[in-house]
Amino acid sequence: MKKSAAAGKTGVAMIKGETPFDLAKAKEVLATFAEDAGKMPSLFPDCSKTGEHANAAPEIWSKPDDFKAAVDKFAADIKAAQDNTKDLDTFKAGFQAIGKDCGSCHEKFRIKQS
Amino acid sequence: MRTLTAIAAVIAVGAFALVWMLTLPTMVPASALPPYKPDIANGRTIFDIGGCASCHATPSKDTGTADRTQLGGGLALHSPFGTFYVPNISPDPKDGIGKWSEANFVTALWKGTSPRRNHLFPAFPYTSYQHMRLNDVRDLFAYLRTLPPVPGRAPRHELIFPFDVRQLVGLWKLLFLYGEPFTPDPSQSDQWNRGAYLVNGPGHCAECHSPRNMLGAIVESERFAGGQAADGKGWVPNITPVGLQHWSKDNIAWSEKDIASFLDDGFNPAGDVAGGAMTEVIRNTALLSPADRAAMATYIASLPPRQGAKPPQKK
Repeated sequence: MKKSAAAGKTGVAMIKGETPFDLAKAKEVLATFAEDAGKMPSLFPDCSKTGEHANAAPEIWSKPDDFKAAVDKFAADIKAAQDNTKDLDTFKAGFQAIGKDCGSCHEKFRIKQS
Repeated sequence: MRTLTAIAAVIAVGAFALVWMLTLPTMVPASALPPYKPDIANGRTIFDIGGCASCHATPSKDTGTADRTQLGGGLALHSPFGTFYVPNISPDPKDGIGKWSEANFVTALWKGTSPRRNHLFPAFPYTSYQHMRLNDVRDLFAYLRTLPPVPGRAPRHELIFPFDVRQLVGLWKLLFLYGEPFTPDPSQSDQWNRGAYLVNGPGHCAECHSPRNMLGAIVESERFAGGQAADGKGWVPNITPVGLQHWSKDNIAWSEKDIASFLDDGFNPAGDVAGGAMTEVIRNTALLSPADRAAMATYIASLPPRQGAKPPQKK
């Protein structure tokens, strides 16, 4: 999800007015999120419980329905944002909805080990 | 031989009596509280930055959906000493704090002592709340009394002997509860002092962001330098400049603005978002005024750099 982090940074800077709004860039941000959301379900097979995905919380495997629901919501909010983003205000609204998904997923399903 | 036994017995009784006296809980008497008209709006602010709802609200199935006004307790806090069950602090007269006086409440936050003169376990962070100003504590009490009474007591704590012996917490307090009120630093700005107060008092940030010793007290020399999460789940970051100026693999430096902004929406300058227990903290800090978040950021950015322990490498 490293690409999402970079995209997140770009998006945050735009909605805070630190960089000027650019529709093409905004669409790129959302496309990056969409790419990660699409990949998510396949990134956590049983063998990834240790090793590289050290930050994955056990809940990913103990609560697979909740995890799937969280990923689906992320994907749905991204799609909604992609359909609705025309200018700074619509991008802001869409981005903030996605931001809530970032937080709620990371709250339950990620445990930072460092 | 009988004389030796007698002497040993006297010493034992004497030692026991000494420990008993040393661990007698102190109370704040009602006479110590001058007449005062509480500011409920400020009480609400203190409630938010104090994070009271995060522990004391009746837990809900989904994270982030607990009702902040239902303070029925019951949340399980896992720790190396066993599991604590957070008590009911709604104004319920039977199961909550409905019968508490103001002095009882001040005593709990400042001294970690209950109205029945029992030591409270320091899972309740009175080591930080002891720094709160009297009027802020009184405002908070007034605000809590506006919330609905919630019936039902939390389960009893499930602690490992001897950590379940409340009287021994009295010894712990002698070692680790310094009893200092907050003193503003006259050489610093009002904003810095406001931040220092919020972070060290009601915000109790160091309670998570510091390493603890075997008795569960904060290692003072490494305050804010991060450590293992109390429930064993993951690592809490170093928020002194050692951490914030060298953030993540990209070695990013947080600005004061970044810190204030993070406390608002959970986005950090690496484009990542707060996770784990910090998500709940952001739910609280997001409710503060921008000025208060900016104050906290000013203070945090000024912390002396402290190295702290390294998180265990996982591979």
